[in-house]
Amino acid sequence: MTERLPLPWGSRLDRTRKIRFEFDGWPLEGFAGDCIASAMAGTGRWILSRSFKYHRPRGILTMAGQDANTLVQLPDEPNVRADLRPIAEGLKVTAQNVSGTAEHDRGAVLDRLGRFMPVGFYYRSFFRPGAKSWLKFWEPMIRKSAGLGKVDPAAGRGHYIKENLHTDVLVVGAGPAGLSAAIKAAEAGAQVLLVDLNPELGGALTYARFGLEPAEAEATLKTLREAAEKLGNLRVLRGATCNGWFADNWLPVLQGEMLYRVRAKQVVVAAGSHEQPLVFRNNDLPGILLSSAAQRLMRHYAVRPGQRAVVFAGNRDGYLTALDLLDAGVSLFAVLDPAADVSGKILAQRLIERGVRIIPNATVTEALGAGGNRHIRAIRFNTPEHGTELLDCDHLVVAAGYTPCYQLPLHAGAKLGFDEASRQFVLSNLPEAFHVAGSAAGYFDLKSVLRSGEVAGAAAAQGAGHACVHPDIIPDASAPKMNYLQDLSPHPKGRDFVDFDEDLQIKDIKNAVSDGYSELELVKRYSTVGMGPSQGRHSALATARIVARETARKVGEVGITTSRPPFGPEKLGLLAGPNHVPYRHTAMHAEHVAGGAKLAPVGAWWRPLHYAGKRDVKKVIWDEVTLVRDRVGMLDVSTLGKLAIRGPDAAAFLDRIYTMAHARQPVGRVRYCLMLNDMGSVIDDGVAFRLSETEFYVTATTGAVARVFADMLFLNTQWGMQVDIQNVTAAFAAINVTGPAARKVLEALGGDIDLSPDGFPYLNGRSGVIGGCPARIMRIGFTGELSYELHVPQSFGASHWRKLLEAGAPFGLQPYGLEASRILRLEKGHIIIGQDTDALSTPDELAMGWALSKAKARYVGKTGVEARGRLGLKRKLCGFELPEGHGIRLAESCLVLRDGRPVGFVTSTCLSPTVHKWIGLAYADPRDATPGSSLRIRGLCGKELEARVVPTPFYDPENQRQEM
Amino acid sequence: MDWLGEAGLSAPESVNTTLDLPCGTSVLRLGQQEVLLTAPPGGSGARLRELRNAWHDSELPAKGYEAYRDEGWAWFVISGPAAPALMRRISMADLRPESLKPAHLAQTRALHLDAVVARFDRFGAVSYDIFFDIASAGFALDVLTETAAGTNADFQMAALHPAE
Repeated sequence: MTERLPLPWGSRLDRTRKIRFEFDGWPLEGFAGDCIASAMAGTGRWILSRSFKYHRPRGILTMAGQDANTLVQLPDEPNVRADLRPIAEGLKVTAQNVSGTAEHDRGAVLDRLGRFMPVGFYYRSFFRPGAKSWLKFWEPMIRKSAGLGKVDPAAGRGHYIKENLHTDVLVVGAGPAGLSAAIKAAEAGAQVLLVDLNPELGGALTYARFGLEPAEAEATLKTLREAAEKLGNLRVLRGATCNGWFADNWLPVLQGEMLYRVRAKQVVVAAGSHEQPLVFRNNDLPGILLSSAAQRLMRHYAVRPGQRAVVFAGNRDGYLTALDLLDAGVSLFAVLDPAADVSGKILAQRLIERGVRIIPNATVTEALGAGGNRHIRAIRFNTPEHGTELLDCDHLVVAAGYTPCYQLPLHAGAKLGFDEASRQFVLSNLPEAFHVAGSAAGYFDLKSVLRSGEVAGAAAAQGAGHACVHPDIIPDASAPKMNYLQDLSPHPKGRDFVDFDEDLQIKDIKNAVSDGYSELELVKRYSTVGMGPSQGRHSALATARIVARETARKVGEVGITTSRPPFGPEKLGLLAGPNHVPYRHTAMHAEHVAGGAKLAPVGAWWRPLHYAGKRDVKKVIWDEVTLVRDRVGMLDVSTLGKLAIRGPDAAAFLDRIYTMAHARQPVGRVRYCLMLNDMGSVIDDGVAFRLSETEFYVTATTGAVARVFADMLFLNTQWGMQVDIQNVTAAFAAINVTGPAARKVLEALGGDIDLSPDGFPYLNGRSGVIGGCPARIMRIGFTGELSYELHVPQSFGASHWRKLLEAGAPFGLQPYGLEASRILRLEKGHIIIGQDTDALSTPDELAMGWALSKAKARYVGKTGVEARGRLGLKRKLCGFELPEGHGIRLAESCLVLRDGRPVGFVTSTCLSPTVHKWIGLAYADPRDATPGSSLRIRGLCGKELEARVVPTPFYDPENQRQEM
Repeated sequence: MDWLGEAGLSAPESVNTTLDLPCGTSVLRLGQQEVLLTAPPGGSGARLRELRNAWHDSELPAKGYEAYRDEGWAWFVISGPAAPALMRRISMADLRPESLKPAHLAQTRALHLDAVVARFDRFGAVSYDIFFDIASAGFALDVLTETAAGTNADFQMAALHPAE
């Protein structure tokens, strides 16, 4: 480990605890509180990664988690920001995007092949030498080298938590402006949530000196921290990132494995600004870092950026950093200032007094690297007076200006313009309830920054309903001088990077414009500028300036590409977890489990497929079908939708909703319901049991009841009919008892309902008591056998199930599952909505024209179905059969062909245990869909055969068994 | 509402508010013409049965309709000093004690379900009554158990049976 700076440098370190870790297999050591990057720098290792295209060595640039140079790989986590992640004992870190190690990367050869990879080359290359070269040769090679980081599928599961927070004011950024805003708002009585990425409050006050002497910044930091600490209504989240803005001030805040979903009445963004790099040849070498990065390294981690420094001071902060370097004992060889005259600059004078050479009118033209560009060793700079000179150094600190943290404001709809006078991006069009403070709002002088925070905090508190006095803004004389706009002419030898993430040079942007892409959105997509992990934080301004120059426009006219969430990286686990998969159980669920049922999800409901237990499943399903055909079975149909429709207009309401006539449906009768949408397509079916003149009990399919209920409410909001509509699906358990002995089972239960054929005919319903339980019973037919559908309050469901089994034991009553149910209904030719129908199915296609009332003047979908009827049928659902050993892989979705072209498909099919044939329903050409014709079906195996079209139902066509 | 008046029962004036009747029955106003009556949790259900029978027997034309909530809804109570913290993790609505005051309710979503959440401050502490789909009760219990464990607030589960 190299020598660290003494206290008070290194505010984040605990020097009493050393921590050992590895990088690329090399054992290293740091202190508790070090991040990976600082610990490595503390041992003299500056290469963290290799660049995306040219595999150039890259190192610390921002020390703020805002650049892609510091992305490293952990064993179970890719793309970790080394300048944010703390080291831990035994941590194994490796470089990304390398063939070998960060120090010795075999991919570095690509740096010499740059001329073969001009901007947009991938659109024109990779098609040679042969027609299949792309697929066979280039694509596999590119796929292998593409991407950043590796995911470990065997990594342990994270434990992610979501929490919802509501607050009066959310302040993003706990630097001087953010702290001032938060304190001001909290003092006014607002509930304030303050969020900052860093482990300590203070932002720039923790590393920047703001003035000749650091004492003022230190005192300000102490005062603000103490004030914040005292306020019970100010909550702080450290190590947290506000990752986006969404409608109505909804903002996600990420903190480790926690996602806070914050709803704030008012938002203050005091997130600071992104310091900008200089563009010159080899501006990406390790050892070239931004002034704030150098200050963070020293103040937070007690690491000198090097021993022999040169500073480029395009603004005040360069000089201030130079003072810091001197205080840290670094040899400062020179400060380069692009201004022609520095005589009026107090900071420059102070440095001169300390023996530092100040070179005015200077521009950096090139950096020279040592040992394969592994580290800077010198810079070339130019002055009009002396021409080009060389300065040896082992680090170059750059202070060239800032762009505001515009991302969150842009998410919220703000506009980013460019002010030519102050040479900075400026935010405008901020929405209500949204405020910006500090350097994000263009303030840099400490007093102005603090005051801008107070102003924003006061405005936010007031917006949240708390009275607050508004102070006045203090104008900032520093602001217009903070941005140095260099000449962006390309270096003849290139490697003057505009976008570090994508290895894009000045000439690449120029050439994109020359290739015809003059609008920034096109330049971005053609060149990929701004599309890397740092999302243009350090390339947007330079790119806009180059495009402006090349297209003879102003920067403000060119603009930047818009910013959308997320602001920074976010794990998919945070978005997904905790992983709660909803499920719904019927009242008889425990009975099914105890009975050996195989349960499966049908939407959120869990339903029994069969009761095979450990027996042969196929045989059990067949046995369940035979059970119903020969004796009696029972099926839990509790998931079916149930709607209570009551009121003076109940019958008229149903008449409008469904296709059949319900207004004159007699009390006690059960009638089929078919529901269409406005297009005339079938969307649901069920039955309506008329309980009284003003009350109906209506069933719907399991999957559609929520939609049907919502549609009914919506429609009645418009119609204003006197009807009450309730979705009572979960309130009732329902059991279908079906088979020749069904009546005997119910009689054995006892009750007050006349179950005789005359007393309770088919398509009737009765209410009463059965088996000691209040029940509504309907005689309907889905299986084709004598059937009773019993609806009881769900609290009676389990006991009623058991009573049925007991009463039905002498008759062989057993439960059966969905698999048998599907076969039974298919044998009877009944459709299943959503399986035998799709979004276009009309009643005519389904041969259900009988369900369309001719007498009713209106019902939902009438106009549509009649209009489509006049167009003629293009397909029709029909029944078909095949012998048992037909020899193809027949299943739902198998194509139906005519003259070799698909004209339909199989919707349902099975081998019927009852008729001992393969039966099915299929959409076919109407000319083929008549009994006696044949369908050509292509199996999943590709073989085709002819199937005979037969009338449906396949079983008991006279309906004698279900109507007995 | 007409029937409540006929029965001499008070009703909350505004939608999304509650009140407790002298007999211990709580009245939750869910809509202009929708109320939910609940017995005291763990208390006697006799009074509520009386009221239900009286409603059934009433011949008032505008007495309303049964919504079968006693069958269709599950009812949980979350109470204690950490109740607001647990509610933050199961609902995106603003259910902070200062926002959802006692005798108020929210018809919103919690536990990934449509839910009615009411403040009654039972058992001498901040508390939330939550009503939701009975078929999802098992799922809701799983979510509550897991989420409560994550708060490290030592939540305990108990079933409140009627007194008779």
